[in-house]
Amino acid sequence: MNVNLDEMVELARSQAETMVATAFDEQGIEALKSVYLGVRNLYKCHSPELLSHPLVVFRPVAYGEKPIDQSEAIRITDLRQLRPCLRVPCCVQVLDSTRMLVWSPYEVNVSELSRSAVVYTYDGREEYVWAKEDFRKLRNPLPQHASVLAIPSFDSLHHALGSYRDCSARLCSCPILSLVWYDPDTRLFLMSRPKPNRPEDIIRRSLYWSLNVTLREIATVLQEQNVDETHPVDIRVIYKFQDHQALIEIKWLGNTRAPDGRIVLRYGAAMARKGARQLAGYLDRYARSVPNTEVRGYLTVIDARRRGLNSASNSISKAKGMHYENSEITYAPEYHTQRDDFDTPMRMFIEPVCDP
Amino acid sequence: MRPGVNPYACYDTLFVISRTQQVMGNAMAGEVHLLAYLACLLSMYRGRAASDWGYWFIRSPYGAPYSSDIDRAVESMQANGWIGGVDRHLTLSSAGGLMLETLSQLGQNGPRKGPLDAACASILSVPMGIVRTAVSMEPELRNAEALSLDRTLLDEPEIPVPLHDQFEALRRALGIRVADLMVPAVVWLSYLSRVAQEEMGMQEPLTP
Repeated sequence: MNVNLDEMVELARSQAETMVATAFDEQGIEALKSVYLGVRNLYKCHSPELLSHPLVVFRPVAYGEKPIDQSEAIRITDLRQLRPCLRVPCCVQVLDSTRMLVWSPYEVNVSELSRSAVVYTYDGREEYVWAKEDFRKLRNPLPQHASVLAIPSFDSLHHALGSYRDCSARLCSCPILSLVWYDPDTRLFLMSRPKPNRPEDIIRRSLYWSLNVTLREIATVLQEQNVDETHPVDIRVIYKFQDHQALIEIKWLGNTRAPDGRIVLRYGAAMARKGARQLAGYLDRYARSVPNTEVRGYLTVIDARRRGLNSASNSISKAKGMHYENSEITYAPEYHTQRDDFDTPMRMFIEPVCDP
Repeated sequence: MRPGVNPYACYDTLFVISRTQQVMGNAMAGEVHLLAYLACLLSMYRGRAASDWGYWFIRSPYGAPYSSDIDRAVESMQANGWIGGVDRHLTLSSAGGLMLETLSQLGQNGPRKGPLDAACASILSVPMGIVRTAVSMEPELRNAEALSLDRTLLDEPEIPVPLHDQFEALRRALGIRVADLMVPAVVWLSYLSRVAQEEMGMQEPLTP
């Protein structure tokens, strides 16, 4: 693998850690670690999704430095005490992982504060680290979650899929998934494109990436894995140190539209039932090919059905757009009740943008 | 500690569990192997030989770094109560915490602290899944994957050329010599993660 030096240089320049080290050297990095840990602990008690005002968290670089007058600060030893403080613009100094000084309400000059401290700021899902009046944006590999310091991790694939349904699919807040639409502003039709950008390709990449980031204790997540010589399942998860694997079959429901406006495909509930049959077959074949491995199947159905669409549709009422919101699919046979290796299928309804 | 248990692997295991539980509440066994391997690589970035690390890793059949010495260390320290936890979630007991403090005073563990601290600090700002994905892209694991071998990693007397090239590029990219290895660790992981995303067919990588 050749190294792309230009890319590495650009990455080094854009990292908060490099900026802090350049500004404050070793002491700055120690302060940065404290700030990161403090923010992570804070977000365990208070989700950044719920922050409606700016948050500033800092740690002075030099021990004993007091860049803000501490006489009006509140000393917090239990992070749950922070809740009322976070309802207004708030500034927090990290003392250690659970003790903090809080000024609330307080609006601070971040640039000035960063002359002697490493400063983290959060405002409307944007996060920055400041040092010596310079700053870097923190990049979030799963921007559907409000902060890179609060991305959840899951032991259970079922829970990870549930999080994807609620945080990524529902409002299509995953940037990869957002590429699936004919018109992302309405989310009525999926875009008909050739491989490797068919709707199923994009949905698979989106789910694959999300699982890769959020699942713990796995060896690897793989895309388009053959269960035998001819049958590829969408995603295979291999757990670490266990003879345990998961096969995920993805189906999407809804209509695709070609760039010229024609409706190309219309997939309804039958497609989900086809997916269930396919997955049951994969599980049978896979169990035969790797008999000592415990394999479990997960059917994921991305539901983009809208009622009453035709080739002239460019908008939709709430009644029609949300018609299928609670329209669960009936499976026959119900593999998930008949087999121990078949998880309950998970339907993920994606809301359209409806007329006001 | 049971006879035959590698003391370096014991120290690293306690260290990684201690730091990981600060961030994530507990550590899972695979995360201990992963972060210890990353620490070994960072030690090489600082110029030490892989053989100085004190134990070896292999590429597991599923592509992850794995050390049987860490496995034995976990098992041994669970048996004597230094490591506790429920199910597969590992935590340090208070006795384990005291043992970590004691082992940290030993001169033999001095050179390990920096790389271990940096590997563990990287999960403060880089999600564990990204660390896992990025490490799977480092040249030594990739090479083993290409050869479909579950062989010992980093067992050559010299640092492998592709890894050496990446470290050289990393040094040039950073331009500064920072004592704390967290800085090169995070930049390298970001780079490898970007490579992984490009290989996955993502048009616009989401992490640097």
